[in-house]
Amino acid sequence: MKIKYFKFPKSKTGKLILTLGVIIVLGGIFTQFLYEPLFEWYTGVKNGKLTYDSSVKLTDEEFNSLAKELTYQDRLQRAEEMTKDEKDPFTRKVKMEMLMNTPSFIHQTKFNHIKYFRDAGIRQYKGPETCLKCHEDITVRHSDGSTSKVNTMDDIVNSVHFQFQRRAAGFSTYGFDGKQVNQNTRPIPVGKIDRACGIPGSFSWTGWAELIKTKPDSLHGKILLRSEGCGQCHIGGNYQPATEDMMPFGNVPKSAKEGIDCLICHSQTYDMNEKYVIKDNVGLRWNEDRSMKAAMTVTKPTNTNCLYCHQHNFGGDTYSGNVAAHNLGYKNPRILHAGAKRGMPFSPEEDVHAAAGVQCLDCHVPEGHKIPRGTKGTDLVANDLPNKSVACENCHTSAPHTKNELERVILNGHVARVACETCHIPYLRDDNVVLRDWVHPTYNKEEGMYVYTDILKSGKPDIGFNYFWYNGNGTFLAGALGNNPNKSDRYDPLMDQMTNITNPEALLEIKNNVKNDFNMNDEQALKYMQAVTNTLSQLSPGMIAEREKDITEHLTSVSNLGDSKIYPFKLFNAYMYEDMSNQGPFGAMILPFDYPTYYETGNSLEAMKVAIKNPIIKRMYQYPFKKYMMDDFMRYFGVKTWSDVYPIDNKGNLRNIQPHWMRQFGTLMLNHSIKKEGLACASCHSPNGVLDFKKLGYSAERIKDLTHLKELKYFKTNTKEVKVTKINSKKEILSKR
Amino acid sequence: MKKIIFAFTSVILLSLHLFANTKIVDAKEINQNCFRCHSMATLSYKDESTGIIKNLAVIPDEFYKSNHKNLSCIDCHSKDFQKFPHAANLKKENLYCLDCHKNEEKFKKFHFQTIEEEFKQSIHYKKMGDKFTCFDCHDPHSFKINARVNREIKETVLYDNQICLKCHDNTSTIKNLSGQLLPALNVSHSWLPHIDLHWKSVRCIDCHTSPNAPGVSHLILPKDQAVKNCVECHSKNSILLQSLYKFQTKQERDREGFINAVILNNSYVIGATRNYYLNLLSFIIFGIVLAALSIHGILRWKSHKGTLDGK
Repeated sequence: MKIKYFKFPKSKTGKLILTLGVIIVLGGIFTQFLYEPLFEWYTGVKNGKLTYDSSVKLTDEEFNSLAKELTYQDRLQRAEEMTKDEKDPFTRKVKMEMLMNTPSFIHQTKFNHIKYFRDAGIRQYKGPETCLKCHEDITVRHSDGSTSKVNTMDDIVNSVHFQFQRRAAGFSTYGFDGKQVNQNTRPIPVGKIDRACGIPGSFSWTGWAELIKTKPDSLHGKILLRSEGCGQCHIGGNYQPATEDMMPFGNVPKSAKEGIDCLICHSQTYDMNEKYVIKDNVGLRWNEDRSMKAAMTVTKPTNTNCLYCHQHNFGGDTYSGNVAAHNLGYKNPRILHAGAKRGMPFSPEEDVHAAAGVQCLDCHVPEGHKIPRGTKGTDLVANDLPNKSVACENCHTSAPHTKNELERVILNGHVARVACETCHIPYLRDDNVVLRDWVHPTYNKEEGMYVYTDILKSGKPDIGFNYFWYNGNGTFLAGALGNNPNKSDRYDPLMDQMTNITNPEALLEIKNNVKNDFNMNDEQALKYMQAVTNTLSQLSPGMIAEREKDITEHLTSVSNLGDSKIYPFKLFNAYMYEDMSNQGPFGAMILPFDYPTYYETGNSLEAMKVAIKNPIIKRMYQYPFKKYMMDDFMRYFGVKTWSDVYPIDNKGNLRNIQPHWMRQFGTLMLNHSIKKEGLACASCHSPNGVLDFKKLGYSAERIKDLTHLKELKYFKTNTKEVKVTKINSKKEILSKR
Repeated sequence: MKKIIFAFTSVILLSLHLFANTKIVDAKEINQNCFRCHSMATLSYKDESTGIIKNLAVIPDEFYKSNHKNLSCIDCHSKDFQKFPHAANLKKENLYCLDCHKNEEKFKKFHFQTIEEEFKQSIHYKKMGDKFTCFDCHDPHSFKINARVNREIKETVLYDNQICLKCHDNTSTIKNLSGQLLPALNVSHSWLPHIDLHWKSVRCIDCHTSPNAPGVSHLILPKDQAVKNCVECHSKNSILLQSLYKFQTKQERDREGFINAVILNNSYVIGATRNYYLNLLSFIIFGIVLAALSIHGILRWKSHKGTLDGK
């Protein structure tokens, strides 16, 4: 008997089915085996097996003595409490000893994983795989009361903490073309992963994990390796950010998922000294604390966990209350960045909620591993739960003031127009950076390396931060959008207060700093200052006209959305190299720096050149990337299409690159460092108050009323000293030089 | 002579007109002073005893569209309020709608007297007495009598339910007021299928008041007397036709003509324009289709059998 295994189909349907089958099989082979290596070849992304020295297997004795050590304080406290009625000190001591070694007493400690590990025989922490043994799925409670069961690994891999990007809608950001990011348009991946920023001076790809050779004075010429890069604060322990997740399909490989650092968020004894850059056969990456000790103290995340990373953008690295900054690493200590991102610590000393023991997650109520950051935002940071509110009134209601019958009513009245933060964050810390010059580094002898030059730092209103109308939305370049409820066209911050510095005190300080840092004379200093104190002076008249047109045609309607309130915003501008082929009325694509070249040589131009030679930056200047995301990215940016002219030509010469200040200041929301005592009535309601009512779009008549309120004398807080006053005469200050 | 008379009357008419206008202008001017503070939308405080947020705001835009738009603040409130800060004893000021609305002829059609009688029998008054006033539900500064008649039903439902939910949606407020911890609304109404749909389409008062009032019933009943029988609404003689849909019925008659509206109101789901004859027709069509399909199937089966047998 002849058996035919295969007969080529003759009918049309048969052929079609066969072709489809072949495509599916080939497609399967491609995605399973070929996509990953091809992707790695194309983007320069690297993957490999991740190992950590701190992951050590303990013996039972080691485990038990560690368990006793970790619970000692807890057991001691409880034993003290239970024996407090015992008068005889020695009897008490004996009783306490017995209690502290009673098994049931030991088991009542808050670190319940010690018991779980003991029972399950777990003596080594191997990363996510250890956690997933029990927590493969978790039940997530949503804000509408419903619950769902999700795969833990998927939940975390798809969170912003791992990916720092979102392709879905839910950005409170509007492009300069008037379109809300990823809303009713072709979605592109957006977030910290691909958003260049002048504060760190680099992209997440070009500055993920780096080792810097420094020559601190204290070592007399010897080299000290320091760790640097975005990866220290992002939970993936891989050789680069989650680049695979930016693509239309594909996901980070399993090996990268094994690098996720569960313990930095969950362990109460995480050792930040284990966070430093290590070099292995594949490349540079960040080490993690994978000790059994850290794993044994797993709980829900506490403020300590969040602040290991987030204090960096609250109080800053050089803030004394930054715990992580006191544990820089057993090897290759991490570099601390002077000049705080916000100068707004979340700490008991500086914030009333931290002092009250309020936990981060009390306000940022998580749903599984998705943590809400509120519905508002100017900074284009991806948001896991864009519709979930994180707001003062969720706890404080809309009538938060309760003291003094007359005052509470009028203060509560302000809630409709003035955000809580406006009064209750009266100042920031002095090291809040406003102007950062990356192009002209200065040498820091103590650190033995070149660093960026901060030419203005201030925690004062009108200098370090300012007040804007805000309806929760922002521009693609972190500009607060909103309008005076009188809906007049007088309020126009993108042409006015976000583009210039007029405060005389600020001008004087910049000038002095520039003269000192760059050894300039008066004339040179004034010339240098021109661009940064009037950022629009960097634009041609044609560009300015286009800018005005874009604002009226695309942004005015967005500014008039909803109910705006006056909010405080930290101001920031940076001097960086820009790709002028991609310039629009709101700025040009800023170019990153390579950290080692920058810190070691102080040659900012060379550092920029090295950074843009990074394969993924090169790919951004090529066809698929242009179509896949850069064109859309630039459309939001106010530029029609992405110019794919690579800024370095074949001979190695630079093309169309110029240093510039951003065309307007970035405005970052301020929400922490809340003070119990807010501003007094007269802090604003006086001719020299902190709010510039004219710039805020009030009519002359209304300004007169607001600055000379006849009722003011009846309010007690008015008698409080007005701490913050502005200096009026610009000329007066400048002439004092 | 004619000219003089004409001029004379014009002057009189004009001055009358001006006088009438000045009265309104005066009111606006007086109000302007109050609005310096009271136009702040969140001018409010948390009441010490109840924990409820008392809002003292009057939104000018809403006020000047309300039924009371021609009044000045001090037409109702004490003139002493013109002084700032307000004297402490003014807090005790006790206003009551019926002070104005009781005996005048032009208010007769609104049945204020009946409303008062109903209110006195309502559960709110029985439990809380004089502590519960008209103003706990109705804000005289934004009250519009037409709102209910001219709006879409869904908007009316939203507007009216908001009045109840202001207190009843918050278990802690209710506990402060009644002294007992009541179950959340979605728990106490869990017997009701599709709660959300019901709440969007029916007012709380449609089930929780006694029907047959001339206007909107103000006799809020204790919960055990509320409507709990589906058929009372979902029937041809739905009680909703007497209350919530009363105005819609009228409107539709005006718009569609009497007969059409009557036919379309003959429905068992309120608001749906389902009609007995159309129902019947669709059943018949459905039956025919079913019959045709089964005949077709049988015939195919038979003929197929035939071909097999033939082989």
